[in-house]
Amino acid sequence: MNHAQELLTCTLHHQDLGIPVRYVREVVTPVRCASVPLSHDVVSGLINLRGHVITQLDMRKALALADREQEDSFRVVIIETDSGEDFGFIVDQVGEVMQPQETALEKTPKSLPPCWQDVGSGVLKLEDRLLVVLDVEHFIRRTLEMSASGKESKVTV
Amino acid sequence: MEDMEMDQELLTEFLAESNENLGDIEQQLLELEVNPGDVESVNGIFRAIHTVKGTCGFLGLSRLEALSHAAENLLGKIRSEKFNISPDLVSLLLEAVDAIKSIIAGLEETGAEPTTDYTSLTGRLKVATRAVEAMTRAGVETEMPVAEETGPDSESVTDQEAHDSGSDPDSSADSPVPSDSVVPEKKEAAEKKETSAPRKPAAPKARNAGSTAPQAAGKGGGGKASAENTIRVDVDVVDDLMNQVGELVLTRNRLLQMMTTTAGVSPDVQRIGHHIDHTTTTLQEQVLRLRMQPVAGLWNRLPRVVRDLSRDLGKKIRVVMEGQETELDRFILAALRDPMTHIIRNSCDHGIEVPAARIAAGKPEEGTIRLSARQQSGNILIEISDDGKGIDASVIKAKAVKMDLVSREAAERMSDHAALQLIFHPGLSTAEKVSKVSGRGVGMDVVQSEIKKTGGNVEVESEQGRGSVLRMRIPLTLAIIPALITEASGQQFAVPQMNVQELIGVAKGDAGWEEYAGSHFYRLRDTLLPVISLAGLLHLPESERDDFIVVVINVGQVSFGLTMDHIVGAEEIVVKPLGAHFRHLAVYAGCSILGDGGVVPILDCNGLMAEARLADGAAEAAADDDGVKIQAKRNLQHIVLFEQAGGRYAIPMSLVQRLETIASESVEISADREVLQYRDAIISLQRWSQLIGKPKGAVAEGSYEMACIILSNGEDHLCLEVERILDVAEVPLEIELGSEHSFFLGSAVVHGQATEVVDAYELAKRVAPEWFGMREDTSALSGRPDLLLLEDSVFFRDLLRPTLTAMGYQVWVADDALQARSILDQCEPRVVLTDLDMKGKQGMELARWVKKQERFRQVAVVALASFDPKRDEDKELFTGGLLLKSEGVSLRMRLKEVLAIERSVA
Repeated sequence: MNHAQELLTCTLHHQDLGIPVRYVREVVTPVRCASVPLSHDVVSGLINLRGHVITQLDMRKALALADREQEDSFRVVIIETDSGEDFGFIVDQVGEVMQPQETALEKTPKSLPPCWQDVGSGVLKLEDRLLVVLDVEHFIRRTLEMSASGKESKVTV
Repeated sequence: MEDMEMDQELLTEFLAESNENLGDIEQQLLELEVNPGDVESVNGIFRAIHTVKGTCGFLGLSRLEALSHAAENLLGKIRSEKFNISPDLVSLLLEAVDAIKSIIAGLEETGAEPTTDYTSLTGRLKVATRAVEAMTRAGVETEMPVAEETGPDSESVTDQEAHDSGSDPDSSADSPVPSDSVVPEKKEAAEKKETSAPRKPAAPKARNAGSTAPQAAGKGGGGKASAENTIRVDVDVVDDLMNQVGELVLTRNRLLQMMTTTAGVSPDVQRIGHHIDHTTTTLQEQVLRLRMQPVAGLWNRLPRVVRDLSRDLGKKIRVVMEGQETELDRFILAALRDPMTHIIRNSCDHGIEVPAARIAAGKPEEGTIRLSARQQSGNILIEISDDGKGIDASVIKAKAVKMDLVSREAAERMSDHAALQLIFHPGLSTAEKVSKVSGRGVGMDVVQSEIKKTGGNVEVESEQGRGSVLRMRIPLTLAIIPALITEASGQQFAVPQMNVQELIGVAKGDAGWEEYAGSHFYRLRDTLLPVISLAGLLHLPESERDDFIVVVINVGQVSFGLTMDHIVGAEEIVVKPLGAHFRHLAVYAGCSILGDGGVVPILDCNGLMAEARLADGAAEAAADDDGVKIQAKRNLQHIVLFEQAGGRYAIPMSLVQRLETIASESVEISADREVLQYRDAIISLQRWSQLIGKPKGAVAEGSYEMACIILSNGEDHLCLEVERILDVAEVPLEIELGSEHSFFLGSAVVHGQATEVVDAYELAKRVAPEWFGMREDTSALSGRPDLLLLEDSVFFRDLLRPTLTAMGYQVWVADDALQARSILDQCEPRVVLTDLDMKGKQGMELARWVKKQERFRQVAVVALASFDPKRDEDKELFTGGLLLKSEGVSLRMRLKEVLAIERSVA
């Protein structure tokens, strides 16, 4: 294999992010989302995607990044996982599908903020910027751990 | 055959077929036992075993083949010799069937034959085959009664295995219970009393009964004819179909809604819409039927259970079944399996008396357990009744009082019916002695919770001396449910109609409102209904409304009200599972898509009740139909209520030793501190007014009486002077956390007034640090021992943490096992204190994990629980001891005791 997996590029808080295309089913614009009280902040709520209920995850919240300036300007990347459950990842913008050379993939540099190091499986050096390749399964596991442990995240005791 | 790669498809096919064939083989064996000469039964059993044997030879399953071959030979011999089967032979064959089933179960699980050794069983089958042969050859009259028939048998069969198999005449003669006392009987068949069976005319025939159900088509002998009309379909396909129909129902709902809200829809479109509506409804019903299975599938192993039990217990019990063709969703059936078995065991053990007692009571020697199932208003009603000795309500009451579940006065006022329902309370069992059959007060609570999980409920009725009835009400299906769509705090929620008792419109100023200890109640027809705000429970902002809807929720015996802003409507909704991110939230049962396309969470009423902590206290008190108050000790705390400069304070009784009135002149000054003589000791005097910085207006001159609270840790004493002691009370304390002073736990409403709750330990720590061995050297203690506290309840966390800190521990708090493990990665605690009541048995799980870690060998594991761990092996995990939550505020004293042992060791 000369080519690494295809990536869908997105941006999240000015950082470029690549989501492996094999996980991506489609990208949708914001739809009505039912919030689920008592759930963790990373869970933005439930959306109805043509009759399927999908858990929508807020990537900014999950990575402890600042909130979006404009509330309703985002895209939802619908992710199909190996476990069978589908998720919607909220990103700021979606770019293009690219096919990097496998050799171009490098280890995540230590200089990147820790949140990116944790969820990235590596980085790609583009002309003028760095693109973090998202480890989708790991990211979901992380949000699950957050959900399970921080059940009172929305309550300030 | 080592090189054989088992064809997966073949194996799957074989397993499905074998399970089907063996499904009612027990039933047939038991019938054969009653009706030993029934050729048809023997044929059916023989065929089933034969098929298994044939196929497993093909698949190279050598153990299974050897075993089924031996069983087949025995059956073949019985068939060819027209031998009248004896109970002992039935036992042996049942054992063989069990073994075959367990091999098949192993195959299903691992894909390979289990390695269990069945050579002894195979040997006994062979011996029995020879015995049958020998007896018939010896010319023994095959028609003669079984008991005599086994006689000559023992002479020809002498080896130990044959003895084990029970063909020894002495053992069968001495055996206290003739095993033929179990007669599974189908009512319809019994009523027909058809004389088709030659030897015993009244004998029932299972295959005639219940064959109305399509699923029964695959049964034993009658299978051939209907095989052409049935097909075997993978469950996944059915489930998928079910989902698709669910989608269709949603789309239909949407269409209907658009038709009513859109103006100017042409009549043609209207007609088509209604046609789609009608077809969808029919389709939905049909597809639902696909998932339905007769309760017979749930019941068919019960006669066997009863047979074995009655042998063990020395009782004669027969099982009568009615309505076993009644169908239930297969998921629900699966969920009911264990509760059903448990109830039956209970009936056999505690319900039905031994024959002598029955005769003495003027009842037939043989007891009857009757199972019945029928549809009733969208639910299935399953009754399990016995004609045993019944349950003595007064015994239950006495026990409940003794265990402090109910106060003596409450018990006296309690109706018998209400008292009987206490058998579902964890920890209560009527068994006078512990038996191997039904344990020691574990079980009925599990039965109840399992049934509740299906959305059903269970209650018991009993007449002393006449028997008991257990009545369960189970929803027909879980997939599509009628639900109420409600709105609270601007968000929609679906409430299953099954749990909705009624709706009441209420305004804030209504006369029916009452407040008790910070909880709200609404007086509804002579009962006090606890009312909780859904918005509050879900931490949503409360909407500013003066009038709202109270949805009266009914969960089993408990009713409570849930306030909503308004009701949007009622809809049939398809229950969809929630994703993995919501697994920890017990308040939701799933979600659904509404007609307008929006997603709505479905509330789980059991979960809501738990979340609101209504299960034990107020709700039961109010819901009990006799208005009897069941006090849940767990929620009640003893407190001393006192007043200072207009403020009200409560101090938990845990540290309070006495209340005294002391003359002011006994106060002395020693080393700048006020002290007084108290019982041969000099104790420190602390004035509450100074502690909270609210001095009394005018300090009384001269001599006056001081109201004093004497605090003690068991050795040292401390006198707390307050302005006025108001009351000593036992109240439910719902403490709102957060307070200005560190020595306040928080505030609570006591007797309708806001009251600051004193954290006695924090207080003592501050004014008498020497109690905790925390004199000057405390701060110098660089390495405080670590303690990990796994606790998800804020209440207990905040109750325990200060104490633990005061005792000198560095406390790490985790609110789930995952977090606990990550903390344990970083520290080496001396103590792990874990709550066993957490969701998913996380506390127990953590204890087991800790036990396995070599590096934690020295760690004392302490359990905090509302019950005793049932199993000894579990108890052993808790090297540091066990704390019961029911100890209320004295819990902290106990904590000290438990940990004192640990510290003395360390």
